[in-house]
Amino acid sequence: MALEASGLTVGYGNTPILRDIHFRVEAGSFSCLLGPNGAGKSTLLRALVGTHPSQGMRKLDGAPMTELGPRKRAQLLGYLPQEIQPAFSLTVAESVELGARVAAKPVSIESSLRSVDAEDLLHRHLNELSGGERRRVLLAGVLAQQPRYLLLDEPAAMLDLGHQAELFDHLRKLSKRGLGILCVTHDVNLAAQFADQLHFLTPSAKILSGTPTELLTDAPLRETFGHRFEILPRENHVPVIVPR
Amino acid sequence: MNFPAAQPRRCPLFLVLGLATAIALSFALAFGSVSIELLPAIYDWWNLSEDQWSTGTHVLSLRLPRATLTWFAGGALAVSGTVLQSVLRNGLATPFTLGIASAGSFGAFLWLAFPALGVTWFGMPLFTPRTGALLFAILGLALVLSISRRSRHPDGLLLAGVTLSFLFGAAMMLVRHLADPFRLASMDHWIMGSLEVVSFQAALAPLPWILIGGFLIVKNIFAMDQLALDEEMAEARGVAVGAVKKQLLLGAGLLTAAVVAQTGPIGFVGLLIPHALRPFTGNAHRRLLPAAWLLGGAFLLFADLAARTVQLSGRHSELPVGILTALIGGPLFLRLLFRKS
Repeated sequence: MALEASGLTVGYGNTPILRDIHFRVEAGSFSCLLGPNGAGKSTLLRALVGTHPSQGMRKLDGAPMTELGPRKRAQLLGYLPQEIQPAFSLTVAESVELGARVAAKPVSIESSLRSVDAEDLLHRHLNELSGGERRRVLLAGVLAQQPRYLLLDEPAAMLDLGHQAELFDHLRKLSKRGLGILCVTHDVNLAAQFADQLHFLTPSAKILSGTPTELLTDAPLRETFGHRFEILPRENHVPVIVPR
Repeated sequence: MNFPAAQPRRCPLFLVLGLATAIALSFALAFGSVSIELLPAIYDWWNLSEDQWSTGTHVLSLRLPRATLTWFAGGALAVSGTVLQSVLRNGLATPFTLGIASAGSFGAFLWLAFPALGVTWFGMPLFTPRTGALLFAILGLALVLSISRRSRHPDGLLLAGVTLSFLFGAAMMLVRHLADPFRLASMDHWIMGSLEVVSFQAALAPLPWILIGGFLIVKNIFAMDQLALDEEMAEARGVAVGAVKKQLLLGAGLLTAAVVAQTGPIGFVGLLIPHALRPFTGNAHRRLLPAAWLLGGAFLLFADLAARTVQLSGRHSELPVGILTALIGGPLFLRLLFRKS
């Protein structure tokens, strides 16, 4: 049971920016995709969802995604983009309900909001919320789809440290319940702390995959970010990296 | 601290709108240059033969087609404006933003200025200003849709629509410049919008186009909600964004073309109504669109009643309804804007 991509080539116009990418997100795993700005992380996520054109094979639980109907695909795969600009001032309840409409089984808006600690925002309008509150509410909308796989583009952006930790802890718990989660983030330490698997997208469009302990070493970090980092080991924990 | 926002008040809204429609329709039938007692007139109109009719019945038989057209026009313009605001993701979009009304008006101007263009078949006019307006409104719509195929960006379509409006506006002025001066009055009358019809045949002429446009809109009513949140998320949730937008543009465009061809441009209904309703209906189109039809229809019925009954500086001809909707709608829209800010 996995979301798989093989031989995926993605580009803008006739210029490919990612070639022959092989990628796998296991059901029940929490992985993070990291890389420098402009490496193509968001584009790769969009290509996996199908909102950006790509060549190659994408499969959901063994079935080619092109053979799944759009609704079935949305029931299996939830996606939260980096930026959302609603056309009108939607209420929180309205925005979560849009996700619930896609779900195969009925789901309550309140329980979706509760899962991201945002049930007190139910009757507010999206445009009244802080950046962090908005991200949590939008995530609740994606969770309301009850997907088997979640692709999140920088869900922790604009969240304070406490809410970042809460969100990643929550994502890890969701993965333990069987969801396959792939999350784009810039925070290597946060990702290493919570994720089972890290994927580094290098400037040469190569993907380095491994556990946090495997990837938080000098060579993959330098190849990906073009910088040297100090790697601080911790007993029984993944190391912490700081810029040198 | 989180302050809960007011829940949209939904249940009584349709009751209020239904009541407003009934009152507007009754007033539109009963009042005008001559007032009639409505219930006896309706009874006679239904039960008596035409040679037994009273004055009231005759008046009613003239007002009923006009009220029908007015209700269709108000409803269709309000729905078209609501759909276009959602599809173009712009609260300033109106049924006329895409240039369809200007294209239609150009078609009407062409036939009004040069009646020789009117082709007859066994003495029956095949092309009238109204068919000319419909032809060019649909041509304008086709132009807009072909532009939408090239541009995925909603603002691109909006700007193209505004440009088309200017182009057809300039073409209208050119036609006006070339026309015989004695034809100018009828052209001016057209451009100010009018709901004058005397037969059910004319009143129901927009209906087929409204039905086709309405079908395309209703078919995509749930997808429209997803589009209003975010186009990329909508696509990820299974909405075929490109196809849905095209169908909605075509639907809204057909509603506008159908109305403009029959009445000329009547402004502000399509801009004002969606803004007035969203605080009460919320953003779900399954509530917003029927409410927009009802309020748009009632608003235009009242505006037309005022246009028929208000006399300015002793003139006995009725005031063009397009002027009145702008005079009423403009300040109301500004009030809504200030209240929102």
